Amino acid sequence: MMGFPTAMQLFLNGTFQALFLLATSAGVATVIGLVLTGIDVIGPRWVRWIIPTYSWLAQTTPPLILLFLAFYGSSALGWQVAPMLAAFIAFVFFSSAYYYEIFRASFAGIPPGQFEAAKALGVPSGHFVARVVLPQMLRIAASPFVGRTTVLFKETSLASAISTSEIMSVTNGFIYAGGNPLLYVAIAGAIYSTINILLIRLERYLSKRYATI
Amino acid sequence: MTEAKTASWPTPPAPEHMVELRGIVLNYHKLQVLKGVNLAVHKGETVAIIGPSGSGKTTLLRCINYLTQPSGGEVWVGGHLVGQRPVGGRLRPAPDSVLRRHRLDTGMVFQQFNLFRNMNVLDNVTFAPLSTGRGSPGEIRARALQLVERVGLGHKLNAFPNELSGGQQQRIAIARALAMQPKVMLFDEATSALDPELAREVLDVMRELAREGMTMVVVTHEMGFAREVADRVVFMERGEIALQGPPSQVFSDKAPDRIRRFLQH
Ligand SMILES: Nc1ncnc2c1ncn2[C@@H]1O[C@H](COP(=O)(O)OP(=O)(O)OP(=O)(O)O)[C@@H](O)[C@H]1O
Ligand SMILES: [Mg+2]
Repeated sequence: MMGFPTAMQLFLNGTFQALFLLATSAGVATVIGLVLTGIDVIGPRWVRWIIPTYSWLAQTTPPLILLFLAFYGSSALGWQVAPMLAAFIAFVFFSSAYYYEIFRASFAGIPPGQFEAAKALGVPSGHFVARVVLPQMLRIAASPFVGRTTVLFKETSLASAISTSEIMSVTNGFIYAGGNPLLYVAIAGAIYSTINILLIRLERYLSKRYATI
Repeated sequence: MTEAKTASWPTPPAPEHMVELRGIVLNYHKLQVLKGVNLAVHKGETVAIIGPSGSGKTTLLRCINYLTQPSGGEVWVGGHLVGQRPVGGRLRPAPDSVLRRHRLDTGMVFQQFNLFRNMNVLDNVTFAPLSTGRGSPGEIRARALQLVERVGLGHKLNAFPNELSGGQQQRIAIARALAMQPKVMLFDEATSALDPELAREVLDVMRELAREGMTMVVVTHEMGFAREVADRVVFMERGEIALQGPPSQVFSDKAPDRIRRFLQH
């Protein structure tokens, strides 16, 4: 049996790993989701079916399969990819699609007359996107975005299947070593819920603050 | 050679014509919505466009600032050809950057106000002039304050659109358009979405603007406004100007039957 300080350290480290995976993959996927939205809105016609097709594929394939594909698939092709990197790639692959859908829907939610107003005023499109479109999109997207991000955080537990050292792997480790399963699963659960509650709180706070939009 | 050149080199309109439409045609697929409309609007003139639903009033107005690109014809505003430019001796559709410059001469007010929802009143009014560099930030702000005051909303500078009534939003939309210092103002059913009471405060602003000498093209169902404020009333029917003249003539008992029938409901 490990001592309490070591156990706490392991859980802390696991939490850090999970948050790191969440932050990096959510960050990159957000950028990709925004870019895909931009391409979908103003890009050439042929991308208009490529993006939805990708999005459909990414959302319908179970995350665990994507995770295995990234990890075992890459080593089958001769690349040694670290578990965390494989998890990152798989998570970016499917969350980009979810974020894209959220941003696409929030773009569609912007009252359309403003586009014509900006045109009639002769406002350059870059300024218009930066000052009007994006702020309104983000405002509409905030709640579904955070909702999806809390799901993504829970999904980081899947990365334990390819032996990363995030929360669930740590938990598994303790259980295999003969620890009380209920105790350790409860600890893991508490960590996930606490962090997700904080995320949701943050969204509520920001939404209230920018409620006038 | 010279002949080919004059053929593709349209002559600018008379200087007193602030807006001149020449043979404007617009087709949506098989449907011809505008059938070669000619219209000149003088400096300082207020023209009201009336006519039955679907007769092409909105479409014609949107051709003036090329929000809708006509299938044929020429649009002149302030002595400049809009939406087209000569390339190698021929007229070609202007690219967006040029079109944006052309649009600086026209201000437009929409039925649904279309204020920028994430910006307060002051930002709504200053955004376009700032982003197109129409003066120094200080000047732009001073002008915006003056305009907002003029439409009677000086006390609402920090309000957001969803905190304003429809009439207040529309008055801000007018101030926003004026902040670009356009030569012509276009109004498309600016009061149709408003209760009579709120419509009145917007019409008062428009009336004042006309009195101060702004050139205005006003698509409207408000016959009272057309009668009292317009210098000229244009009656459209099926994509053509069926009749135009001073209000006294268009609204007289001697006007053709179909106009009197239209005016009766
Ligand atoms: N984007 C479009 N695509 C196809 N047809 C259109 C389009 N816009 C307008 N039309 C058609 O063009 C005709 C003229 O429309 P327009 O909106 O200019 O009429 P209007 O005189 O402004 O009518 P209203 O008084 O109802 O506003 C109508 O028959 C309309 O259906
Ligand atoms: Mg109309």
